[in-house]
Order: sequence, then structure tokens, then C-alpha cells
Amino acid sequence: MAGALLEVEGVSVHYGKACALHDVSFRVEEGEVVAIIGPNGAGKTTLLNALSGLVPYRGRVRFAGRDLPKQPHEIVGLGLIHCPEGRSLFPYMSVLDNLLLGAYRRRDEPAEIERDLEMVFELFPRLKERQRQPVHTLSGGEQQMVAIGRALMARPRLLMLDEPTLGLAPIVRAHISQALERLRERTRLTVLLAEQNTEFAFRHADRLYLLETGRLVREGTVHELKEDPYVQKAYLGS
Amino acid sequence: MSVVVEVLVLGFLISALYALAALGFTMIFGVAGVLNLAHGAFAMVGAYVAIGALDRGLSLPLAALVAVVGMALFAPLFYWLIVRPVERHPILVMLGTLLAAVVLEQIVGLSFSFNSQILPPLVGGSFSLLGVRVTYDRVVASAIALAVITGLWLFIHKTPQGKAILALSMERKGAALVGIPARRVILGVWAISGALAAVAGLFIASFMGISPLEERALLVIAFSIVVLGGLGSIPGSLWAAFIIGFSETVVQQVAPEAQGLASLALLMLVLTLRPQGLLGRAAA
Ligand SMILES: Nc1ncnc2c1ncn2[C@@H]1O[C@H](COP(=O)(O)OP(=O)(O)OP(=O)(O)O)[C@@H](O)[C@H]1O
Ligand SMILES: [Mg+2]
Repeated sequence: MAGALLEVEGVSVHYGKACALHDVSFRVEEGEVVAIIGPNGAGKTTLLNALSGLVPYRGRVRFAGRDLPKQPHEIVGLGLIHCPEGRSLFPYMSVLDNLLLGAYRRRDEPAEIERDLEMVFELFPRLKERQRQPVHTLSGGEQQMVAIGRALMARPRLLMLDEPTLGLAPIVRAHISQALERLRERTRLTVLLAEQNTEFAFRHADRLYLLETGRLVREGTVHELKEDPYVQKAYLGS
Repeated sequence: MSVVVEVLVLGFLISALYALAALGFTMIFGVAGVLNLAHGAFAMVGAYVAIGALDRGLSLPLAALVAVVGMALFAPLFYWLIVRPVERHPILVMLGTLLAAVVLEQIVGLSFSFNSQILPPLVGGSFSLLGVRVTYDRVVASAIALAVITGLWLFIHKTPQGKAILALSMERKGAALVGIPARRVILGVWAISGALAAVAGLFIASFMGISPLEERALLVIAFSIVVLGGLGSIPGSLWAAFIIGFSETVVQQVAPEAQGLASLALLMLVLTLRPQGLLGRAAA
């Protein structure tokens, strides 16, 4: 299908001899939230790392109608932004500096960047209070907010989120969940979500793919996957 | 009283020069994880570029400029040709840069001489401060060194390019994911490192004289400071430069025969108490 924002065709990733992704194909349309779900070690993180240029792959990826470049900084320049597993924040820099570095490749008006900063602070008021604090002194939940905020500061055309609520307390998870919903209402943001937590994925996704040991084995809407006997048995505990 | 003044004036100058020598070395390590054992040679070559330029009739300020700009171009080239091909193998990086340093020693020694040479002072004259003769040259040198260090600090903390350097030194993957082009930034840091080494080399050549083999002593000083301050930490290196600079100056005044031992003793003490150095791996 032509015209999807992200088109992935036959992508494979090998770590040495081990095959972590095998011939994976999928697409993400403009404005959609697509979730890749799957158990530990399925290859979700590997997939996002390949798309952001951190890990070499075989296969073809098109983004916004062009072949995806290979270098991470070129990919970021096109607006494919990755909020990674483990966050990869700059620990000894302030919250504010971390957020502003998210806009490193933007060449638009400083006023526009300032506006996005206000938007991030509105979404996560806690970050505004703590903007001068070094990131390594924040709680895990606050750090995750910085990670999402930093990604938003790049003004993504497609935001890739890797398990954004992993290891967080229920109340923080709910907060991030809400933030994601408000963001979508406001900006029609396109999201590719890698998630092990099926509840979170079902709540946010328009469509989902199920990834198991490096292969996509199911595709469908929330409704279709919830009704799928295999998914029910393996992932929904019924 | 005059001993105190002497120690303060001389200690400050020496410390500032040590800081200049160490900063480039620590930045390269912080950002690229590379121990550049040719860093002392960079300082030495910088000094000889100025000596050569003077021989060809350039004025001293112009010769100094040629040296600094020259090393700012030479260092990235050095990285590209010698370090980059073996970047993933720390042992080969160390062997390669050490070998390159020895080659540079020989080239400089054969084109000039292996004897010590001295650069003329930038300005003449002196004044008396509480009974101690202080040359204007030392004052000017201290001011320049301080200005360079302040400028570097402002660049790193206040400009996007500087923050990119810090970001890269803290978190490589995060830097890639915000779109910082690592390769280009690293080349820039080599250029800065080369320029700083040249400035240090010029001052050292002017105050203490320099010979091709002197680069080894410079490397040892830079290395001790950087290890004491914490590998990759800029403020750590500044602290350590002043600690080592002043303690060496004090020792030189009160017990000249123990020179060099003071920094060694300090280094061993700190590394026993804090193996990661004074300021650990925090580049900020
Ligand atoms: N750098 C690496 N080197 C070698 N193997 C790796 C590397 N990274 C991941 N793998 C392997 O690739 C497979 C997929 O890992 P990946 O991290 O992509 O899974 P995941 O779906 O993100 O899992 P999780 O839900 O636990 O985060 C695993 O078997 C893992 O051990
Ligand atoms: Mg993962």
C-alpha cells in the first residue's frame, strides 16, 4: 500500500550469527498508533533500534515516501524519533538541558521550540518544577517523563516509544497513559509503540502486530486481536 | 611573606598551564573513550611550529597563531589517519598514539635539534609585588590561560555545540537519538584538543624551555591530572591541575629535591580513597 508514513519491508537483523528479526514487514499510517507487542526477547527493541539507525539491518524501510537514511542523526532530521528502552538521558545535565537537546536538529524559530517546551511542561508539570535539577537525581517515573518530553521536543512526525511504562508504579503509569491520550487529541501524533504490557497496548493502539522470536505472527485491530484464540490463550490468560 | 607570594604567583601560572595541557586530553577521553598518548607530542609539536615560524621571520604573536591553528588542523587529521582505523581496540589506540608520539619526537628532533629551546617572552619588563619580582610576561600568560579556560567552559556549557560534546560524553546512544552527529563532534573535539595542547606547549616552551623528548613529561603531567580529576571530567581536571600545580610549586620552594614526588603521592592517595578520581565520570 502506497502512502503510509512508515513502510517496513522484509527487515532482518542479525547479532553475529543469531537472528533477532526475521523478514519483518509492516506499515504505520499517518495519525495512527501502532503497537508491536510480544514477550521478552521477541525483538521489539531490536526493531526500533534498527529503525533509528542504531543497529544495521537488511531489508527496505521507507519513511515519508523516501528510503530511510542509515545514520541516526539523518533519521532524526526526518522526524522519526525514538524514545528508547532505558531512556538514554544525559544524567548530569538538568531536565531543561535534556529537553532542549531533544530539539538539537531543529532549525525553526526559537519561539517554536519555546512553545513546544511549554507544551511538554503542561503535559508533565512536575518537569517544570524540576527543570534545574540534574536528571540522575529524578525518580524513575520523572526520568521517563523527561525521556518522552525530550522526544517530543524534536517535534516527531513519528514517535517510537519502547515500553514507556516499564517498571513504573501504577499511578505513574496512569499519568503517562493520560499524557499520551492528551497528546493525541491535540496533535494527531503518529506513534509506533513497542510493548510487552498488552493492557497498555490495547488501550492506546489503533492496530497491533504480535512479534514472537523475531517474526510477526499476527496483525489486526484491538478488537481482532482480542478475539483471536491464539492471542487469548498466550497473552490474555483466558 | 615573599615565599607565599612567590608560591601564589608561580603556582597559579603553573596550574593554569597544566590545566591547558590536561583539558584536551580529558575531553578526548570523555567524548570518544580514547587515551591519546600523543597528547604531549601535540603540545611539543605546537611549540616547535612556533619556533619554526619565528625562524622564518614571523612575529611572536603570529607564530603563536600559526601554531594554534596548525595544531587545531593537525589533531583531527591525526585522529582520522591513526586513531579511527583502530578505534574499537583500546590497546591498539594506545600503541598507535604512543608510536606516533615517538615518530613526532624524531621528526622534530631531526629537523630542529634534540636540545632544549626557549621561546622569547611575549612582553618584557617586571614589577615588584611585596618584595617579589613578577614579570609582566607571567601576568599576561596567566591571564591568557585563564581566558582560554573560561572561554572553553562557556563554550561547553552555553552553546549548542558545547552541549552536544557534553551529551556525547555522558550518553552515546542518547546523543545519537537526539540527532547529534558523533563523528563530526568528535573531529571538533580533536581540533579543540590540538589547539589547547598548542597553547600549553607555547607557554611551557616560553617559561621552561622545550625539547622534543620533553613531550613525555608533558604527557605524564596531563595523564596524572586527568587520572586525579577523574577520566573524562573537565571540572575534575581543573581541580586536579590546580592541586598538582600548587603542590609542586610548594615542594619546589621548600624541598626542591622531592620534586615530582608530590604529585605522585597525591595521585596514590586519591586513587586509594577514590579509584574513579576526584569527580568520577561526570563530564559536567
Ligand atoms: N546487542 C545484542 N547482541 C546480541 N544479542 C542481542 C542484542 N540485543 C538483543 N539481542 C538478542 O536479540 C533478541 C531480541 O532482543 P530485544 O531486546 O529486541 O527483545 P525485546 O522484545 O525488546 O525484549 P524485552 O521485552 O525484554 O525488552 C534477544 O534474544 C536478545 O538476547
Ligand atoms: Mg525491549
